Order: sequence, then structure tokens, then C-alpha cells
Amino acid sequence: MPHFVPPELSRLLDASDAQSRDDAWATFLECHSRLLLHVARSFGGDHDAVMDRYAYILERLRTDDCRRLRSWAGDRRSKLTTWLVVVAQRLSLDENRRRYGRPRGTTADAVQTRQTRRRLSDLMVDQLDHDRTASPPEESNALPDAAVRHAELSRTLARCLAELDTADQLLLTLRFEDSRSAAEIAAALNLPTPFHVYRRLDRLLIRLRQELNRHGVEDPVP
Amino acid sequence: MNGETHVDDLELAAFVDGGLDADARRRVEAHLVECADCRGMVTTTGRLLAAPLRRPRRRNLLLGAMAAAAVLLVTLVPRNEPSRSPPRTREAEVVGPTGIEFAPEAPPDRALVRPDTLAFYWTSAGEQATYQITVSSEAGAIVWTESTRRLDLPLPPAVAERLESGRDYYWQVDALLPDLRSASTGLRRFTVNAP
Repeated sequence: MPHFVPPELSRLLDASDAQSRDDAWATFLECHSRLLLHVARSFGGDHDAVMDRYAYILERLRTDDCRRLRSWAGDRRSKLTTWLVVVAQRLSLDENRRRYGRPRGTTADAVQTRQTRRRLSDLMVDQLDHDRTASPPEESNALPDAAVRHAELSRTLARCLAELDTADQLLLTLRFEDSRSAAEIAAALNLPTPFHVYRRLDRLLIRLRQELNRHGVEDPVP
Repeated sequence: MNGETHVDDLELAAFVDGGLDADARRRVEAHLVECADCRGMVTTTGRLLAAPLRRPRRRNLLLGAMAAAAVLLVTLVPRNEPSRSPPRTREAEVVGPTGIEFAPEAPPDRALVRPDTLAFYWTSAGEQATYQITVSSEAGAIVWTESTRRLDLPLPPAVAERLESGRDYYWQVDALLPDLRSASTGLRRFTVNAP
């Protein structure tokens, strides 16, 4: 069901002359300026930088007869406030790029992906090994088959991850690649509380361990 | 999604609010697994929406509005809300993204309470607001929930009997106005006192 159009927005979009548009814009700002300033402030910088960003956001929202706001009014799959936060972030990034230039990509992404897989596979190793008395890491790594076993575990884990549905893959990515807290994940994925995140993660990791067992990975060490 | 490689604003906001159909949601999830930029946007959006707003200085708003050729800002209070003076509380007042001032009053966060005398109090979110209180366990299971127009509710005796001594529980109140704006106190914790 589409979200309703708040009165301060419908008044702005329906205004027929300059005076009523200005009045409606002022009313719209009364309702939402704090939120927009909140987003502008989240990008850091001194007071002037924040105000420049905030002014840019307002200017772009009003541009072209409030084209962006009209696009939301024609869509309404989200709440207006949620969409405003998304748009304000995008506009803040645009403003930052105009001011400081586009950041260059690095090859660190590939490294980070490998580190993520390593963190998750280490976690799986811990879970498979939790009942064993493990030898100290230095001794384990000295075993000639340990590296082979770890590589096999990583490959099997990658296969199991690819078989998960997209929601579960996203949950694991947010947790292990982005190191997001349960509270952040709950807010991003529209889950009621962080406890729901913990429970889903817990069930997911149990299922992953069972899948690894099914693929023949019983123990991390021969 | 847009013509390039990222989720567009409308679809991303709909994803955060759970407004996509199943196919669209799966498509966006698959993209988010691979795209750190869009993923960052989703998590930051959730975080910004959940964080309470602080009151800006009036000078900030004037400078911003003038710079964007907007009309002079007179007040931060929405015109169509009745004048109000919410009671001062020991808890910080939270101003949500919709501009509603609304805060819990009692019990204080992390209080030690007796369930047989426990009652919850909160400030008014506005005339004709409806409030939904939810108490849940540490594991996230809902223990009790009730809807009311009052600004306080005692814990029902039947619920009080089920609470376990020494355990932590969480409560929050959500306010809904007739114009469908809403606000929440956020989660507060209390611990049940041992008899």
C-alpha cells in the first residue's frame, strides 16, 4: 500500500503561484529542515561546510519545480522521511564531490573481500572445532595439511554462501564484510530489534555449519 | 535500479521501509551483496533515521534558508499543531524526524523495578495521539503490548506474574497522530527486582 502524501508536501506540489509556493516551502521546511540538517551534519566538516551542504540540499530539492519531490509523490513505496534521508545523502555526496573531487578507487576492495571470506571461514572453523581441544595456533599452522584444509574449507564455504538466498547473503555481508553492529543491521533491514538480527545470524551460522558437514567438512584439522 | 550500477533513491528508500515486492527486494538484495556503496547508503539511512535530532540554532536555519533563496524561517514548530508545553522530564526529549516531541517519563532507563507496582509513563505526542506500548524479553519475544490514548499504563497483574526476577526486559512506546506521523521513545530497559 503506498504511503500517503503529507499535507505539507501536497500543499507545496499543488501551489499555483509564487507566493503560495514560498509559503508552502516554508511550511515544508518547518517539518523537515531538522532532518535534512541532521543528514548534512553527518558528513562532517565545520559549521560553514555543513551549512553549504544543507543549502545545496534545499536548493536541489526545490529545483525544477520540486522535480525530486514530485518523483517521490508519484512513487510512495517508502515514507517521505526515509526517502528524504536517502536523497539528502546523495546530494551531500554530490556536493562533496563538487568541492573536493571524486575519490579514487583502490585495489583494497579485493583485499577486503578476501579478508571477509577469511573472517567468516575462521568463524566456521571455530564453530566446527568448538568441542575439540585445539593445539596452539602455531602448531596447527605448522601441520602440512592445515593450509590445504583451510583452502578446502574456504572453497566449500563459498559454495554454501552462494546457495543462500539474497537476504541471508546480505545479512552476512553487513555483519562480516562491513562489520556493522546488530542495531545498524536491524535499522537497515527493517528488523524490529537487534535481537532479531542476533537470532537470524545464529540460525544462519548453524545452517552454514550443517551445510559444511553435508559437503563433507567435518573438522577443521585432519 | 538506475541505468548504471546503483539502486536509485526511490527503490533504496522503499527497500529500507520494506515497501518492495518480493522480486524487487531480491533483486536489490543481490545488488547490495555486491555493492558496498549502496550497502553503505542503506545502513547509514537506517542509522540516521534511528538517531534523535538535536535542536539547531536558529541562525543555522536562517543562513541555510537564505542561501537557498527560501523564505525566512520564523519558528521550528509546525503551524498546524496546537500550542503545547510538554512537561519537563528527567529523560532527554527526543525529537523524531517528523518533528514530534515525545519522551518516556518513568521508569528511568535501566531501573530496578517491582513488577506488581510497575507502571509506565510518557509525555504527550500531541492531541488525539494513540500510543502503543510494547514490553519484550531479552530474546526479543513480546511479553505484553497494548494500545491506549492515556499517557500512562500499569503493567497488568497477569503479565507481572510472568516476569522473572533478575531478568532484563525492554519497553518502548510508539505514538501515532491522526495525520499518520509517528514517533517512538526507543527501547528502554528495566530489571525485575528479586522478591
